Amino acid sequence: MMGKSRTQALLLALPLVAFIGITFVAPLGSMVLRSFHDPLVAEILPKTVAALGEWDGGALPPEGVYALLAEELKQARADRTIGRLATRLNRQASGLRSVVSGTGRRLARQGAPPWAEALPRMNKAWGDPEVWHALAQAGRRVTPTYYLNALDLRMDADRGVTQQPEAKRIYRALFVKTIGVSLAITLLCLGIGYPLAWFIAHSPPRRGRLLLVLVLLPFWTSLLVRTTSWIVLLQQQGVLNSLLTWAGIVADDQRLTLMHNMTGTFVAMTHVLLPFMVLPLYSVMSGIQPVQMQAASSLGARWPRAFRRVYLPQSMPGVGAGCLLVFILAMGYYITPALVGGQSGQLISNFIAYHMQTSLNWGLAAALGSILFVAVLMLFLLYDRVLGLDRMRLGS
Amino acid sequence: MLENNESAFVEFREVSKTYDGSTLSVQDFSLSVARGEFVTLLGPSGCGKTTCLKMLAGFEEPTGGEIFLNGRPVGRVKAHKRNIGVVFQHYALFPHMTIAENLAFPLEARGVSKDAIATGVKRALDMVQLGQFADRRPAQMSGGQQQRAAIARALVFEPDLVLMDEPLGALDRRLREDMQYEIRRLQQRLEVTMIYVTHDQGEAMVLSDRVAVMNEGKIQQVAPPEVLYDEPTTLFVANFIGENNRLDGQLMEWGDDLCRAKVHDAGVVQAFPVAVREGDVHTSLTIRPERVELNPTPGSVANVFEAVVRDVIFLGDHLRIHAELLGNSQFIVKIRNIVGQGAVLPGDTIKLGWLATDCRALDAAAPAESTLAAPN
Repeated sequence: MMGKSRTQALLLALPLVAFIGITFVAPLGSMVLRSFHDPLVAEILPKTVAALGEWDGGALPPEGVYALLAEELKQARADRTIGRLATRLNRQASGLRSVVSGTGRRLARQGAPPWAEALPRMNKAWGDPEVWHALAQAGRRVTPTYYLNALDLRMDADRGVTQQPEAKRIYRALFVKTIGVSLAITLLCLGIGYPLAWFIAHSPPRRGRLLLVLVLLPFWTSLLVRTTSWIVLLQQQGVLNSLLTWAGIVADDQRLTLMHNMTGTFVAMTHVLLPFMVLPLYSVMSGIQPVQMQAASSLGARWPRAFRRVYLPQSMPGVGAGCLLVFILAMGYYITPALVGGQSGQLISNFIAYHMQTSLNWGLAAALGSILFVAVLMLFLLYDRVLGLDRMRLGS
Repeated sequence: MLENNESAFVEFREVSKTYDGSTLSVQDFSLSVARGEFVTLLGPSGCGKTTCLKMLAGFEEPTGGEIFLNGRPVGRVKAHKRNIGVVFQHYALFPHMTIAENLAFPLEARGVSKDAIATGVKRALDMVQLGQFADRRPAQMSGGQQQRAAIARALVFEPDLVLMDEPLGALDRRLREDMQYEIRRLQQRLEVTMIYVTHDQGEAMVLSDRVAVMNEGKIQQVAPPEVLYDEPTTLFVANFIGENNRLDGQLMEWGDDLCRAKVHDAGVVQAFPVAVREGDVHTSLTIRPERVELNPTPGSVANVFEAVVRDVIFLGDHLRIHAELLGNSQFIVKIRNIVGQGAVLPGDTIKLGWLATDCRALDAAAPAESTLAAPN
């Protein structure tokens, strides 16, 4: 039986649960769903797709299938859904956009059975079994296509999985690059953040507070402003290059390319993510009493040994929390590489954004996003297995 | 320059320390400690006793003066080379290590072999009866056990000198008394030199061969506990150690072993001049409550005055009388509870007397008077 207070507690939590459900679970769920569930073709060409299901996949489908396609394409043109269909099918096999929309236009004016002859006359693509295979594949509601594409794979006519042609392989390398860059940035942040957090945590209270504010200050500034400032500093005619040229270190015609490449991504992302490393480190370090190091030295340990055996182990919960935060944030970072990364400095998130906003291939964007999500989740679990999440501390 | 004191194992020579450049936390601190001696630095919080300990351990540097260890100045010796065992106020055990690992730490730092570490750690743990706790973490142990572990860690590498900074402050009373005894026993058995810091005079009395009483960065008096109690040389020590009655008076005349002072414009008190010098006008006279006699035999004591009883507290073996005497409304008398002694009731007028030698004329450095004495 459920007590009254428990019912009340559940009711009180209900708005929050609803909020999370509507703003978090539902969009995330629909995104994951979109990555493998694509009913567009099956909805616009239901009969054709059904008939193709019984096709043996031999030379060409029978007359009945041609007839159904002609009928449904005519209908789709009347319903003004043919554009979306064409776009979707073009993704399956490039060139199909013009085939579908062209056929649609002609079907509106002319055409009579037998369709198996009429359609290939309108566009000779309909005489190609490959096109029908593509149509059959696209017609499946549940499709591995997006995941295959996201992993640089594709489905053959004989339904075997093969590699994409070399020129079209980008995503696997991009995932590896994203993980590599994120790891490198995490290490950079740790390298800069650890001594910084140490210094702040063991400063006199006044100076410590001031330094902490300086670390937090960028948080109160718009991310765009911060990133744009890096453009001012790093560009070829920018502050840094001008200083170097002025000092005679770099010749005027050999100004360094510090942005619109990987360097820019590294510099700006490290700067943007540094507070996420410093804050947990600071909070854990300020919980380590200075007397611990005094005790170590009174027991005969030189500074390096005292640090390694006494301080470092006690600061590890902060290191873990900071690294996990920075790494996960870096994996999904998007604005900074988009602004200062140029061509070579783009990460997986930039391609997800591209497919969301420009190519409108939401299925592929969803598949890429889901893979990123699972990858981060797996790293998170790996962290838990190796270091233990319960040992991670954001505060002392 | 002062002569180097050959017999001193630890010597502070005119050591000063300031943190902010203006106020001195420690001022002209000079103290010699012999090998095997147990010396306590005693004083109220903020008197500079912990600072002295930190300077000796090497955590702080003196601003002035020099500290000698075994006849050699330690100014340039880093903390980890001084070979001094330190027990900290809140133990400072390493929370991420087991007790055995904590104890092994100083031995590892000294490059001791694995076998020797194992036997050394076991011996030290047995010494403080923590043998079965070797694999516990500090957080899994009680305060008293952590304290014993911290002491074992400070002793395991057999240092010649051990410093303890209020090691028993966090323990309850009962445990504190047990630990006092244990610390004393260990110190005597291992013949280690000990410098101990506390604000608890009882603790200092129980443990120490000598006690250095400190106030406001300065040493007030260094002496064995009984001398400190019976023969305080400053008003601060007289008030800080045990109970004392104080009468503020004007010095009338003084000699080598007797002085007279007028108190409260009423009585003339005879006292033993301890810290009065020629030219002094004011003095503070102190009398221990148990040295005051009730209704003394006429002629047996030099000082006899009338007092009005304010309160009488019965404490079993003795009576505690609060009376008003020569303007001091909190004059305390301790009377042994013996048969045939007439009852004393609040409101009674009684006669109180004491020997001139039990009344010590000390410096009149009480803050109230010094502000009154200043004309502007």
